[in-house]
Parts: sequence; structure tokens; C-alpha cells
Amino acid sequence: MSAHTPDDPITAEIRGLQRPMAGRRLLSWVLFLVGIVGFLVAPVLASLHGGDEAAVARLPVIGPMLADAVAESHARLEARRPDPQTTPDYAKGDAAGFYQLADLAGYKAAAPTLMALDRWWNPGPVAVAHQPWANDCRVCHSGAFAQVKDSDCLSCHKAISDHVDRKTVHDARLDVRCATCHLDHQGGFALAEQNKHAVGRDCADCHGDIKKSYAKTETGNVRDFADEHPNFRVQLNDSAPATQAMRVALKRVRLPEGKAQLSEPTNLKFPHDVHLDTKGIGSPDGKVVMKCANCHEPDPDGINFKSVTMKDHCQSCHALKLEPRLSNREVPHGSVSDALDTIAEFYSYVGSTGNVPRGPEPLTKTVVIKRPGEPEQAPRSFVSTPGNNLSRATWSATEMFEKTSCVICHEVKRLAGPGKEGSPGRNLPQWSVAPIAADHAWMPKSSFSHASHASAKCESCHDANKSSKASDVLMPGIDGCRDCHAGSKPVADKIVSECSLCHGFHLPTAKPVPAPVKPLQRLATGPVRQ
Amino acid sequence: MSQESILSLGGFRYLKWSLILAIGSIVAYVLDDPRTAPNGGTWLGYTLGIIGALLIVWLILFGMRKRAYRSNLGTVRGWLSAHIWLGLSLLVVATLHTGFQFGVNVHTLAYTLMVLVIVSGIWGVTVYMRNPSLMSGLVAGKSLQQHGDLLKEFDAESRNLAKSLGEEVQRLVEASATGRVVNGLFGRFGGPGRCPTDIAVAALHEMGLQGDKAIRDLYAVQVRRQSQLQRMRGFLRLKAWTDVWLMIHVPISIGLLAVLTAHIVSVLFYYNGNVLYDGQALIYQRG
Repeated sequence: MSAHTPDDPITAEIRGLQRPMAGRRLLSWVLFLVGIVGFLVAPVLASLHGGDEAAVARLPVIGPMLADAVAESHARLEARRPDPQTTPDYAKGDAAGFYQLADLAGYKAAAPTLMALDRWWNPGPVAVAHQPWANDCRVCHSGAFAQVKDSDCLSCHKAISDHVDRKTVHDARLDVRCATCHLDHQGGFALAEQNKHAVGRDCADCHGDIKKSYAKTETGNVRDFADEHPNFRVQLNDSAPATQAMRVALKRVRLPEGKAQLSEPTNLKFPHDVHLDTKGIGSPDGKVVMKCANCHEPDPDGINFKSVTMKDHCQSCHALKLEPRLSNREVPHGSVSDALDTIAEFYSYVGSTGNVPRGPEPLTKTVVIKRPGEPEQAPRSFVSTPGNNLSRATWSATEMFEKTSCVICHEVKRLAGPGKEGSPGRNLPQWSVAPIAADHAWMPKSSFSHASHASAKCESCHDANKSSKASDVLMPGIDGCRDCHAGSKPVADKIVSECSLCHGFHLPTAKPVPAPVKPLQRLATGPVRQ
Repeated sequence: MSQESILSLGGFRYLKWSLILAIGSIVAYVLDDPRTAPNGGTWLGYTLGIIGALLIVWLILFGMRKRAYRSNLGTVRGWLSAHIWLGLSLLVVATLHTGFQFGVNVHTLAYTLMVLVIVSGIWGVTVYMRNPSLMSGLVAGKSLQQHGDLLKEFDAESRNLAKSLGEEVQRLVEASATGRVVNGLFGRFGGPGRCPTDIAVAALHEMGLQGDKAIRDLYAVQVRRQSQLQRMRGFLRLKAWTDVWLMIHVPISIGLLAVLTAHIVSVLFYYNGNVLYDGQALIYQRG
């Protein structure tokens, strides 16, 4: 108890128990140093130093000790890196012009920080396309204490375009950084996708009074989809093509209000209403009830449809039979002279050999149209008609072009002969078939996913079953969209719809990298030969 | 105002401040509508982050104010009350600063350490509010050394009584007298185990049944020693649990200071927000 006598064990123990617990200071220092070195000093040094393994090995004393660990760490990081070259997503992005795949190879081992020590600074998952470089901060962050520069983005995204051509419109409001809209580290989705809900906010800054930015524009003012968005403009053929090879000019026409209907020259005869008759339509297999999807097959992208072609979608009913006796002999589709040659060759063969080829199955009904006053009869054949080869071929060709086949869908005109020099069909009557306009995107400035709307019936937007002419423009106007889509402000039972739901920001790229969303195709002949 | 606890100080003055800060942050968070998902890099994110960082530094400064006995900058009681309430509001401020984005990185590490510090602080407040009165009940106004002196008196008396008894009894008494008050480093936190006094009491109880008065007297002394020990151990156990939270609270808060520094420097090192930009981008944030 007194200071100068030695403590007995109990006093000593109690004195010890009353001292504050030891080690607080030591523990504090340890945690502080681990935190500051591990998460600040080491990453900063590594970042400034780069990923040079050899330089580490040359360090005095600690160099040889670290060399193996550094090499091993780098190998491990490299093994975990997704390879952009083998990821389908990258090819897709490349096709859309988001970047050029060939350039990515050079970035494979871009600028890793030593042992990627700075990866612990990564505040959140980077967009899916950036994940091969998720541990290489300096690929995008090229300078310390500096923002990501546009040049950092553009070193891969070489093909990306501006919003408008700067030569056309000069507006200081467009002088923004890539990162003004595209902020990464917000999750693994595509940057364009995750920014969608935010991008629309600023559109009205310019598009609310677009003439102020660009007086000559034909774009209407837009503030919000709900009530301040003009009706859609659809892209239409300016005229029907005069020749097969001609690509007609396209124009954009605003859909009229009310019941008025737009029409577009196509040179095609196609009544949607007849084909979509709910009571069915005649076919070689009897009456069938057709559905839109019989001809309009969706593309895998869910946005567009495959081109409708004679071969895949028409010919099973609209066969081009030249001789009633033969159910399996047709003329080729697409070229008048090829068709006439085939007819001439066929009847010439019949006439010169006396052989009449037979089809695999007997015909059950007449193909040739019955003339008034003629009795109904069994299938007729031009083979058995009086006259020579030429007269039989002429009859067959006239039947096909003017009565049974071509004229059903096409504008057909009899021409003065003779035909092409040296061709078998030269001496037959000649016809011209007006070329069909190529199909084209209807609303090229927006993107509409049919797949997302698959639960709705086609006719709830497209009045095809009331359309009797191919020239009818069956594109729906904005009112139908507004039944389900609100603007940027939430409305009960409606979908909040910012501009970016349908519209992109960047112009289609000027470089020839991306294929067009859908290649232009002639209805009959397939891809246009340039 | 002796009835005022550390929590209710000044009519809950700091609780009010804390609520204003927390509710203000929540309201701002709800009203804010940033371009991206809420995160630390938006305007509000930076604001909450700066408030949070300043709060952390100020909360850590309490450790210095506590030791600055000459300081006239408020009372230590006032500082502690503010430390507790504002420390609790930090939980709200910092959580909203994160925008609920967590990951395996230095940023979430800083948040985790902060939560550990705050949770240990809540534990600290609990033991400080509860244990001292229990402890003073146990020691009944005497110091622990005075309680130790009682043990020594029991031991002297026991040795005296044991003189006339056999060697086995003397060994029991000696073991009881030299046994430690608490056993080992973690003994003070309480725990199972029989100490030599427990053994002596049990053995003397057996012997006392045979009717020897000296044994029964010795048994009575050892029972009193045992209850005295239990009283002291109860006190020490409460004291240990009261003290140990600081072993967590303080070192982790110092670790937090380091990781927080790394967090702040790193987000500025690879900076990409639009907030500190030259202002150009900000024009477009709202129409």
C-alpha cells in the first residue's frame, strides 16, 4: 500500500488490473500504416511507375525479392482478362461502329499499373465492353489528377460520330465531353444503355426550339413525348424506280393527322386485305388463313424484318407455270427475257422432238382462264393446241404476262418486238414489267423493337387488313404510341419514355465500318447489285 | 444539472443537430435526381462526402480534446455529447454518400471501417451508461485496493486458523491466498473455471460436515473470501468490457483515417466526375 514497501501479490495484481489496456497505440499505428501504404502510397507509386517488371527487378535489395511475385501477379491478371477478339459482343459493337475491333488488339496489354495495385480504387463495375481493361485504370485515365479526356475514349472509339455535322450546325451547347453523358463504373451494362434514362433530359435544350440552332432544319420542336412531340415522319420513295438498277430517292414525310393516308409509289400490286381475309385465301392446298408473319419474318435483332421475296413468300401460291400440263415447270422470276427464253425453249423442244414432258402429278384443274362461252373443261395444254411452236409459246407467254401470272402483282406493258438479239425468246411478243421499289427503313431516325412489342397484335398498329393497295403507307402515327407511352413524367399505367427510348444521340458513323441496319433488297431479285 | 446524462445534455441539443443533419441529408437524397444512379460522384454525393469527411476528422479530434485538459474549447462533456450524436448522424450521411453502391474496393473498405467505429461507439455508449452504476454498486464506495486489503485480512485470519489444522488444510488455505484475482489475459472478461478459493471452500465444506469447529470457522472465512472475490471479479469484468471497446473504437478510427485519405486521393487521382469540371457540362444538367 505504501509506495516504499514492496507490493504483496494481491496489491500488485490489482494495480496491474487497474492500468488501462495496452496496445491501443500500437494497433492504431499498424492499421494506419497498412491503410496508407496499401491503399495510397503503393498504388500511387505503381501508377506513376507503370507496369515495368524489369524496372522492379533492378530495384536495390527488394527488387530480386519482388520480381517473382510481380511476374506471377501479372500472369494471373492477364489470365483473367476477357479477350475482346473472341467475345461476340465486341464484333457487334464493331459492326455498329462503336469502335474498330482491329484497334483493340493493341490495347490488350495497354498500360497496366504495376501489379494492378490501383485496381482497389475501382469504385464499381465498368461497362461490359470495358471489362478487359477493368484492371488497367490508365487505359482510360491517362493522367493523374485529371479527368478522362475525349482523346482517351476516341483512341478506341474511332468511328463514333458527332450529334450533328459541325459544319452544318455550330452550337456551343454541343461542346461537351464524352463523359458528360457516358460515366463508367456504374454497373456492367453497356454505357449507352445505362445512360438512356438521363440522356433525354438535355434534348429539349436545343430541340425545344430547334430552328434557333439551325434555321433550315425540317425537324419539329420537341419537348416531351407526352404532349410536345410532332407526329412521326416516315421515309418514302420519292418515285417508283424506272429501271431495275435505279435506287430511287427517299424523302421524309410527316404522317398526317386524322384519317388521311399517305401513299407511296411502289409499282407493286398487293392487297393486304385480300391476303389477310379471315375467311382464308385460295392456295394449292385449299383455303388458308394467312398471318402477317407468313411473309414478314422478324430479323434476329427483333427490330426489323427479313425482306419479303417472291421465292420465299409468294411463289408457293403464285407459281409461274408456263404449261398447264406440267405442274413442276416454271419460268424464272425476275427477268422478262429469261422468262420468254424459257417459254420459247420449252415449246421448241416439244415441237422438234414430239416429246411432251410430264409433271410428277396430274393437274386437277385448269390453269388457263376460261373464256366467256367456253365450256368448263379438264386442264388444257398449249401443247395440244393447233399451230406451231412459236404460236404455242406466244399463247403461253401472253397468258402468263397478261392474264395469269405477272400481271397479278406487276404493272405489265406490251412492248413492240423483237426481243434481245440472239435470244431464244426474241420472236415472242415482248413486255416490260415495272421494277418494284426496294424496301427501306420507314423511320430511320428512331429505333422500334418489334420484339419488345410482341405481346401486341400487328393490326393494333398497322391497319393492314383494311389496306387494298400496296401503295398504302401502313406506318402508325404517334397517337397509338401514346396509348401506352407517357413522356418523361410518370403517369399511371404508362411507360415513362425519355427521348433516348427511341432515339440515339450520335449520327450514324461517317466511316464505312458499319453495315446498314438492313441491306436494301429488291423484292424479287435479292440484294441490289451495285 | 446533474440529472443530465451525456445524451440529454443541453436538452438534447446535439440530438437535434444530429437529426437536422440526418433528415436534411435524407430529404436532399430523395429530392436529388442525378443523371446516373446516385453515387459519390454527383453534386449531392460530393456534398455529403465532404460533410462526412469533415465530420470524421472532427470526431477523431475528440480524442485530442479529451486529453487537452487546459482547453477551454467547450466542456469535454459537451464534446462527448456532440461526438455521440453527430457520430450517429454520420452513419446516415455516409450511407447516402455511397448511393448504396458497395464493392470490393478502398471506398467500401473506408465505409466498413466507419461502420465498425460507429457500432463500437454505440457499444461504448451503452457500457458507459450502464456499467459505472453497476460497478459502483459492487465496490460500494471503496477502492479496489481496499477490497484487496479485505482479501489480505481474510488470508491472515485463515492462515491463523489453519495453524492448528492439518497440512492438507494449510495447503488449501495457502493455495487460496496465493491464487490470482483474475486468471490470465482474458480472465477479466469473465469465464468459467474454479479458482483455488472455490476449491478450498468446497473441500472445507466436506470436512466441516464432520463437526470440527476450527474447520467450520475457517470455512466461514473462506466463504467470505469467495464472495469478496466474486464481487471484485464482477467489478473487473464490467470494467474490462467497459474498457475494451476503446481497443476497437480508437485503432479502427485511426485506420479509417488512413483509408479515408486513400479514398479521397484515389477518386481525385483518377477523377472523372463532371462536378469539378470547368462548369461547361453543368449548364446541361438541368434544362
